[in-house]
This record gives sequence, structure tokens and C-alpha cells, in this order.
Amino acid sequence: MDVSKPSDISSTIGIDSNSKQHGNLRRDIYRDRYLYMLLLPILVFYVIFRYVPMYGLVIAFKDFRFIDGIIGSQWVGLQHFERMFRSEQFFRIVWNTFILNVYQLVFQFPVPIILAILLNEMRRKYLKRTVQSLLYVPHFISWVVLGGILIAILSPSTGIINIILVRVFRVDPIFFMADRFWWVVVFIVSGIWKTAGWGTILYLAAITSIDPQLYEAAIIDGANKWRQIWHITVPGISSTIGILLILNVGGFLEISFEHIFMLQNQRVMRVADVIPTFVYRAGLQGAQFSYTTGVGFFQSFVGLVLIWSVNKVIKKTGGSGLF
Amino acid sequence: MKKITSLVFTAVLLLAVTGIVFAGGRREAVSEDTVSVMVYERGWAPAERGTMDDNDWLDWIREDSGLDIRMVPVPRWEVREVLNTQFAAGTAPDIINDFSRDTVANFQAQGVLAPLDDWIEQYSTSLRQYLADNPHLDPYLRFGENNEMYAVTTMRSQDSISGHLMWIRKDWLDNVGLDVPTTEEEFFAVADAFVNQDPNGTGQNDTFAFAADHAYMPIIEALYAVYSREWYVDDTGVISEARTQERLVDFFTFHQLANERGWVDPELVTDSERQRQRQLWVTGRAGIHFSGVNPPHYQELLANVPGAQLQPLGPFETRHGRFGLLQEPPAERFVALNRNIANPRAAIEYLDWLVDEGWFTLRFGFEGQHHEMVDGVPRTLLTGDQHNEQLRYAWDYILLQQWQLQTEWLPVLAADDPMSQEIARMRGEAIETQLAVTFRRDTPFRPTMQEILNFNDEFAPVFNDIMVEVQLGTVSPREAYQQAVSEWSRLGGESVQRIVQGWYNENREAWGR
Repeated sequence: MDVSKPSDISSTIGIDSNSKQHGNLRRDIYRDRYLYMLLLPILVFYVIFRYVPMYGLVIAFKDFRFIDGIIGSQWVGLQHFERMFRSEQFFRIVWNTFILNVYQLVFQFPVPIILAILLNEMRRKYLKRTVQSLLYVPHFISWVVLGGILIAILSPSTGIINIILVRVFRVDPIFFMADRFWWVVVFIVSGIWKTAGWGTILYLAAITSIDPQLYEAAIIDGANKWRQIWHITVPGISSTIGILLILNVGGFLEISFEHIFMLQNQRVMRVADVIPTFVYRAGLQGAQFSYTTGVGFFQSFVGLVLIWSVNKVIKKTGGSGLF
Repeated sequence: MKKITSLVFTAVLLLAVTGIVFAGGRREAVSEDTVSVMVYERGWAPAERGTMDDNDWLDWIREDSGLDIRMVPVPRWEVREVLNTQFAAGTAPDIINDFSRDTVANFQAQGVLAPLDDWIEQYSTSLRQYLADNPHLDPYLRFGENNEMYAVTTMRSQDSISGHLMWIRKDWLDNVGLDVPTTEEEFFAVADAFVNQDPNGTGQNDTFAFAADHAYMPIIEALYAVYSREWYVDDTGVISEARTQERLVDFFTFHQLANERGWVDPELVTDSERQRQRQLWVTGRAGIHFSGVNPPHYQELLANVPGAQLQPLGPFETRHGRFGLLQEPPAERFVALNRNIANPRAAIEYLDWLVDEGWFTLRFGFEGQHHEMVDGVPRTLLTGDQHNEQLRYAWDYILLQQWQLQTEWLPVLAADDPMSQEIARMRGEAIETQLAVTFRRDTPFRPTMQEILNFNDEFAPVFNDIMVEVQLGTVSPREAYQQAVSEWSRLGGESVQRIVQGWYNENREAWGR
């Protein structure tokens, strides 16, 4: 059932992975040398673009000046981290980032799963495909465009939403983008609208790998649709859900920069100022490279701790985990 | 066969990847005499003329100066971000420039700029003479502990010294029966009348008092002398920052009233490009425009509202006195050289050429083609559109210049058609109104210590929150002021103040204060 198990991959490309030669790594590599050569460019990519740049991280412990470069700048120990932990703003942006991510996890994460299950139950193939394509469309609209559209349709004087509210429901117009509560709602809902359709792809793939015989057996046993979904579909994709959950939690202190930057305004900064926008402001605009690298480092470190803990929990509860 | 195919396939993939990697690292070979020059990218270069780094004016520059000049366009509003990245990557241009002295201070502190005293002495003639003739520019050009020269500049002309200004609809004033406001009280009365008394005569409650363009915030700050990040000196010689002044109470009152009484469009907060504000103005739904000395969107406004009459509106009297709107310091563009410059002599020669003769042609074009000389003044032969197509994109190549405008020249300079003459007349009036009241600036430029930056990272968001509460009316102006002051000291503002006080005491004599 689990699409990510190595056995599935190797069986699809016709290699017997059940041979008991685990100890002999060199022989394995020699035997699958062409496959490994295919892997090589990817490894090179990761080394050059993901690992080599990491040496720049040392500037979090230095007082980085352009003229001295990364290697030559002076060491200042934990000075930037001291400033960070003394800073009220730092706790504000960390809290904002954290809480927005919690909302996203609670409201946004389940939506693609539900959508995928619903799509899977659709009878007519062409209808299903049409709906699926329509759901993907928002994914291809950039936040820059979408931000402008949102501000326009949510405008209290000329926005369509408020016109409906006023004309049909006879309530006062709401300035969604400038209200700290409604802004968060807009942020989450717009995130769902843009990403949910695209997110169904993985779940739909997982659902197709469920053995149809299980459904047939269930139908013979008299299980209705709900029972089938609950006892076959959901357990069938649970490991996929688990892995995506781990990845999601791992990115807990990250947030899509464009998304929040385009929607931000001065009125809602108290809830909308997050780590990436702070790093942009203080780092790129204010040239405080060392300090903001420290903040970024902290963000990655928390991400690592979270990903590791959730992985542990999922494994403890019998799931397959990420590593 | 299968094996060979897969081998070839893999090899091709590998080559592709490594090829991409190494091609990225290769640098273009540049000749010794090339000088690369940063230029603002404002999207002004018309497509048929080329781009900011390849067009007919640039060809002319190369030919006339005899130097191999390459332009490096940098988005106008992202100069810091882009240069930061370029300096970090070692790809920054040889000559950089910005209107902001802080930009030079920032890169000087990063150690990437070259000290200029020796090179000016060695290589320069015209620029050296110019700087010697204008010693009052000197303090603006010196940075760092050794007080060395890291930038060169030329003087602003009075039309570019006068920064922000308000424009009021004279016909609206007549409709509501009020005079041009000169005091705070009168200004508030006009604002109320513009909102409530149907000044545009549509019979509907569809007007705002203000069209709040980008200058809205800075103009209000200047009106109460609490200009953003400016430092003010009191009678006893104590220096303190704008956001701790007692005048904030009145500044906050203005903002609170503007929101409460509907003077300003509440959607200003989400109108980051000010498109709504522009629309309000040109459709005749706002009475006071916050911008600069050029009549704002005048032709567009006339097209929609044929009877519209505009008048420049200077600062009003507050209970603390009358404070001028932003006037730029005398230094115009700050031009600095990259420390890694290969050919400083060529760069200095280029600057010499600009300050000598290059600036005039880049500004006014060729005689007979773009301008004619009338009473020693270059009168343009171009309409506004022709100017945009043929000349405007050369504007930001003029890093240094010797233009000093007299307002009486404005009608001569402008094209002959009645509209251009009308705009020139209004512009002259606006510049005089603007310069009539001096902008309060107690130090010639702002202090730029790292401590101030760090402190501001903490304080600016707090102050922003206070400002939001003021606008929402959830806190009184007096309470807001007290909050600002107590937050200032709680976050450690006093130690920043001590540093700036030291800086002021050290330099006040040199500044003649």
C-alpha cells in the first residue's frame, strides 16, 4: 500500500530486491552501476547547491562585512544570538510565525485529503478530470497577482464581497484586510484556495495504489460508502498523510514569503510580521546579514527538532515515518 | 546496445549538469578601460530606443567622453537590496550613486567603498575645482572615523531642493466659502467642509478631504516637526529623536481626526501603490493632494473635471510654530566608487566629463533638435510626450551637474503651448510657496550608527502599533505620546540618545551651530 517503500520502486523497474546480500555494498553498487550513475547528477546538485552554501552559515557567529568576506570577518561568538533572545520583536515574529502555521495545519492540511477522497468517489471520469484541472488552476497564479485581486474584492467600499454583505445581509461593510482577526482568516482561506487542489495529487496517487479487491470484498460484506472510505481509503493513505504531516511540521517556522508579504499592511503588523518578512527587512534592506542569518539558523534548527520529534511520535504509534 | 544507450544518456545528463554549474561561475572578460556605472532603472527607456544599458544616449556618452562606459541598471526603489547582494557577490559596479546619504554611509561602514581624496587630487580637474568652490558640500562627503571623503556630489537646484507640497482645489474652497487655510484651525475647518459640504456639487456624500499620495505621511510629520528618524535639538542643546517630541500629541491628533472625521480614505492602508488615491483625485473626489511641486495629475484632472483650479498650499501654523515641508539638503546625488575598481583614473575622468559638459547635453539634448537657446536659457522644443520618448531616460545618467534654476526661467524653459506654460507658471508658484517656510533640520544629516539601526528594529514596530491605535481611536493622542516616550526608554532609547548627543556635541562647531 505504501508508495514510498523501496520495494515498490524496485519492483516497478524489474529488479529483485529480496536478495540477501545486504553486507556487500560495493557489489550492489557495481551491479546497479547504471542506476547509480543516473543518481549521480542529483547528488552533485545537492552537494553544490544545498550543502556547499551552508558554509555561509558561519556568518551567524561573525560580524560580517563585505570587504572581509565570509572567511575573513571577525568572530563574535554568540553575540547575535544574545541580541536575538533579548529582543521582544524576535519573540513576536517567532510567535506570529508559529501561530499562523498552527492555523494552517489545523485548517489547511486536512483540505487536500478530503478533496482527494471526494474526487476519488466521483463516478464520471470526464467530470472528475475537469474538476481536478480546475482545482489546479490557482496553484499557477502568483501571490503578487492574487494579493492585488484579494485586496480589490475585499475592499470595504468597492469590493464584491462587501457589496453582497451590505445589499443582501444588510450588515456594515467589513474591512477584512485591516482587521487583525479577519486578516488571519483571509490569510488562511487564501492559502487553502491556492494550494489545496495541487495538494490532492499525492493523495490521489496514494489512493490509486489501494488494491481494488479490498473494496470488492467490502461491498460483498455489505459495507456502505462511508464504511469503505473509513476502513479502506483512509488507512490506505495514512502513511502518505503521515509523511506529509512530518514535512509540514518540519517547516513550522517557515512561511511562504510572497504570500504574507503581498497581504501585509501596517494595520495588521502585530499579527502579520513573521520571520521571513523580518529577515527581508532587517537583512536585505538594513544590511544586518549576520543577525538575520542567526535568525534564519534558529528557524532551521527549530524545524529540525520538530521534524525529528514528529517522526519519532509517528513511528511510536506504528506509522512508517520519514527516516 | 541497451547498455550503451544508458551510458550515453547518463553521460549527457552529467555533462548538462556540470555545464550549467561551471558556466554560472565564469565571468565575462572586461577590458581595462571599462568603467561600470550604476543607473536607476525606472522603466523610462522607450522600447524603440533600447534599454537603460544599451541605447543611443549611452552611445553618445561613450563617443563624447572617449571612455568605455557600461551601465548597470538597478531598480529605483531597491537600490539597497540589489547593491547589498552585488557587493556581497563581488559584482557591484565601479561607480554607484544614490540620492540618500545613508546608502553611502552603509556601504562605507561595510568597507567596500574607496576613499577619494587622493584620486580627486591626482586625476581630477573640473570636479576638484567644483568641490573647492563649494566647501559647504564637504561635510556631507566625509564618512568614518578618519573623516575621509567617500563620495562626491554637486549642488541641488532650487526646484529639486523643494521636496513635498500640498495642492488644494481653489474651486472647492469657493464652493464651501472658505479661504486658503493658514492655521491648523482653518485647515481642519476646510477639511471638514470638504467632507461634509458637498464641494464637488454632486449632491452625494462622496468626497474626501485628502488624496493621500506617498508624501502624505512625511508631510504631516514635517507640519509638526516630527520628521521620521530626524533628531531635534532643544534650547538647552539636548538632542532627541522625532518620536519622543511633545509635538507628537498634535501629530497624533491630526491622524486621529483625519480617520474619525473621514478626511482620508480608510482604505489607504491597503492602497500600497496609491492607485485609489490617484483615482479619487483625478475624478474630483478629493480636495487636497499631498505630493510635490509639480501640479499633480493636472491634465488628467482637467479632462474629468474641466473647471478644476489648483493652488499650491504651504504649511499651516501650529501652536508650536510654522514648520516647512521637506527640503532636501544642498547635496544632490551621492556618487561613490567601488573599492575594487580596476581603473580609478577612467572613473574620475568620467565624473569630470559629466560635471564639465556631459550633464548639459544629457539634460537638455542637442541644440536645434531638443532645445534652443533663448536669453541664455535652453528652451525645450519638445512636447511632454516627445520629452519622455527622446530625453527623459538620460536623466539618471546625470550623476553630477551644474544646473541652478531661477523660477523666472520656468516659462522660458517650457514649451510654447498654453498648457505647458500654465503648468510652468504653477510650478514656479509652487516652488516659491514651498521654499517660503524652511524645513526644520537641526543636524545637516542624520547620524548613522549601528546602535541606532538596532534600536530602531525594536522600536519601529512598537511605534507602528501605537500609531495604529491612534488611527483606530482606541487611545487618546496624549496617552499615545506617553506610551511612545515610555516605550522609548524601556527599550533602551536613552543609551542611543547618549551616543547621538556625543556625536552632536563633537560636530556642532564644525556645522556652525
